[in-house]
Amino acid sequence: MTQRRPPVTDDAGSIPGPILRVSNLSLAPGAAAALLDHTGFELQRGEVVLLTGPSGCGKSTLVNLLAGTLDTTTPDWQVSGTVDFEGASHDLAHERSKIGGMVFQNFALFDDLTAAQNVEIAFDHSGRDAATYAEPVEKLLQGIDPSAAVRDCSGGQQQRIAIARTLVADKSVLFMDEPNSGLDNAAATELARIIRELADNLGLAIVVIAHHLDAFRDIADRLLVIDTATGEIKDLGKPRPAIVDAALHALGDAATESVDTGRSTPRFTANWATDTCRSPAVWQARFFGYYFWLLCLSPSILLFIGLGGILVGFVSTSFIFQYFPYRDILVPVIQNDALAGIGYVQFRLLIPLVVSILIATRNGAIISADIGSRVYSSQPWAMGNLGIPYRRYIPGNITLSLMLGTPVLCLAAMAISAWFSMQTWHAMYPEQSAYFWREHYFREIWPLDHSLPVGLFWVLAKILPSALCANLISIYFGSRPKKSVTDVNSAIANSIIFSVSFVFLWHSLVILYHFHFFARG
Amino acid sequence: MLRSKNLPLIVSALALAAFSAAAITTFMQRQWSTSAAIPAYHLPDKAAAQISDRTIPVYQIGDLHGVRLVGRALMRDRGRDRGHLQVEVYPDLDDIELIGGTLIWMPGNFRSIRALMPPNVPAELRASVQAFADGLEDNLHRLTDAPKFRELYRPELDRIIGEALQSSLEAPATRAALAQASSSIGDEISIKFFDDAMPVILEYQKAAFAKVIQAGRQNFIARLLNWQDTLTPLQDAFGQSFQDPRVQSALTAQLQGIMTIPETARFARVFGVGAARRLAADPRWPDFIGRVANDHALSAQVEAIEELVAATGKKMLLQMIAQDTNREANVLALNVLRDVLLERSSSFLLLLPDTRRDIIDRVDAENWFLLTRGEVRGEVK
Repeated sequence: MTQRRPPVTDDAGSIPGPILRVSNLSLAPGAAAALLDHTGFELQRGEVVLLTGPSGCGKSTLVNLLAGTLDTTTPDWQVSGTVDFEGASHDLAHERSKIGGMVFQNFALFDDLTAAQNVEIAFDHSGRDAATYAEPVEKLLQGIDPSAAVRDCSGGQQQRIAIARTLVADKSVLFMDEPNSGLDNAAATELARIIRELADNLGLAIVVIAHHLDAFRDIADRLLVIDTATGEIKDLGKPRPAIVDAALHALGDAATESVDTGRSTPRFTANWATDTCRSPAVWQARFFGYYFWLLCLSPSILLFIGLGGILVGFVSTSFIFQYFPYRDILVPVIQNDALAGIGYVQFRLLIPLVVSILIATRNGAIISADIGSRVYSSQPWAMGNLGIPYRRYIPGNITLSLMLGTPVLCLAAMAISAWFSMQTWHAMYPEQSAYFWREHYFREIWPLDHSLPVGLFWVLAKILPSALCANLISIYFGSRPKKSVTDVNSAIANSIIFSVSFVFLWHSLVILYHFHFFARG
Repeated sequence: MLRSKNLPLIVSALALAAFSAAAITTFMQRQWSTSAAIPAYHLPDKAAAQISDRTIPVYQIGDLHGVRLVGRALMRDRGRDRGHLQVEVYPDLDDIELIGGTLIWMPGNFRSIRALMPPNVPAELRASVQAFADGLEDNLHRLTDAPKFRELYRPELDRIIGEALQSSLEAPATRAALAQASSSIGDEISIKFFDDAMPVILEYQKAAFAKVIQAGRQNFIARLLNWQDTLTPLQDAFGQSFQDPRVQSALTAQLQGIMTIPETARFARVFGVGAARRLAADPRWPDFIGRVANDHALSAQVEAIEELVAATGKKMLLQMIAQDTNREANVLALNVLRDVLLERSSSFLLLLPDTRRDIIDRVDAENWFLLTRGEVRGEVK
């Protein structure tokens, strides 16, 4: 057991007032019966408070409400009451509370970042000195490989990463939603010790939601229980064994899932421990690079685009020349214009359409899956709670990457399509010069005296709005509330269907508009 | 090294390299001559005035009349080479001797094709035309002799022909020729005579025209192509009409030699040509021909004509475009034919080896220009 730090006092030696006071709080999901009804509680600095109650009584909802991570869109929560925090008073009926750091039940770790980066990003957006948290964070993350992907960490390790990440965000109140869920007894006991040390050494007020109270019984200062009958938060004082047993009896035993407690791994030495905060531009660049790679440069998208270009180049050239009637006579007559036509069709119509469809399907699925899984694992709310600009980093960088990458991908597809068209034609007419193909293929689309291709505007008018809207559609479906993996899958399917439909519609409209008003005759 | 973590990076880098290579070998090489030798040729003003395209194809004619496309010539419109042709041969054709050969400019027309034909082809074409004319005459004869045609279409055909003749006769030019003919004949032959005799003469002319149209005489097609010859039956009919008792009653014995007078012959020519032109321009033909062609009762005769036209067209086309070697298509002739059919003004450059300078002798003097080389930029191979 850790040496308890005496309660924090002011200069006069008197015990200060509560850091947090919630009063007259009512909370109801839509028109349903209220979970909490004109109730409240207080928190002191350096205090560890257990919050418990039956499943569905509103424990998680309460702490999410106070931390500003409650999704108030579904259901339409009815909230009233007052929060007094650090000298300021907030009316919950009209203001969104953003007090305290939240350690989510499912951790809400950023699974595209490493263990170290999960902590660093929170620190870099806190704007505070790292020295304050260097020691406790290093203790928390002992045994965790900093470069490990979070998905490769055990449940206990992920729990400690999540706590460290919330800690460095420099909040004076921490909310932990069932932090011992999924941990075995040894890991849960170790976690309890860490929580107590954080409260004692840093003066944090910590609210721990727990079903299994044994591990926290000795470290907690008070026990709060939500009475579902009255909607009250009852303060039972110091959680003595009898009280805990009674509470456990009331709640019933819950199954536990054993996970490992961490194996021998390199010492955790993240950048934040020695450096000052890095500029958010670093993270902006990091997320942009991540999404530009994922959406525009990774092997699968290049393979996708390349195959599309190959197919267009081969099919459009081969079939036109292969199935021409009276080939021996007509092909020499029409091949000049046929090559010019093939070039025009590939460059102006087929490649932009194929690239738009491929991007809408492949990247639409990836975007909706990425955002959907983030929503499903509460990452947007976690980022918001940590002061990390979710919209700018995630949807913003996705959109920026696609807007910059789509023309590049289209150009790549055009190049590979042209090359395969040339090779196909040359294979059919080996006695002719490949430069004859070049001369006529580019005759209409890129004349010799033009520095840029003709009709570039119309190509961009097709691919950029297609990519933008397909992207927005995917972001929309990905961002909708997710309660299960099935919801994520549905988002992927919907984003593909609607994105591709939009691409077809948009290309048809542009083609009709272009050829009706600008290209007649 | 090749750790699995780096594999995606390596794959993407390779893919990007492939895309870049594709772009370089296609996009960047559409102007392949920028770093190669660029000989510029001076083009005479008369030829330059006929050039409508900025890019002109360059063909090489080899032994045995083999023709192939070997490059392009760009008309320079700015800089010190302004007004010159910049000749660029395809770099991947390694046996092109641009400097050793003779380069001539020719317009894209039938005369150029004819000049470049192998010696035997003109005779073959003439034989094909004659065979086609004969076949067409027979088939048209079968068509116009068919009972259904005689019953349904012959009156309409006669009406079209009659109106053309009447219109030609009433034309000012014909009347003027008539006046000249009558004045040259002498005072004793008055206009009144022609007014009395003309209905009979017209009747004979109409019959002669009908014969021509139904192809009752040989060489009809050839005459369609040459209206001078078409006048012969009309002139014959003219003479026959003067044998008619009704005309003879209006003539005195001394007027028998009337058709030997040049003005009379000219009148016949003006009248015949005018009638033929009016006949050809008659707007009722498309509908008339369409109804005949779609008449099931005449389908056998019409199909025979269609088959003849298609077979002869293909045969003549193959004769015109064939090369001596392997009877492969002559890409030059095909492209010129295409431009002629599409009424596109075109021209081309022909690279002649010394062994084939004989071609120059076969070309009309006004129909080609020898190009003289101007300044050469770069090192010519």
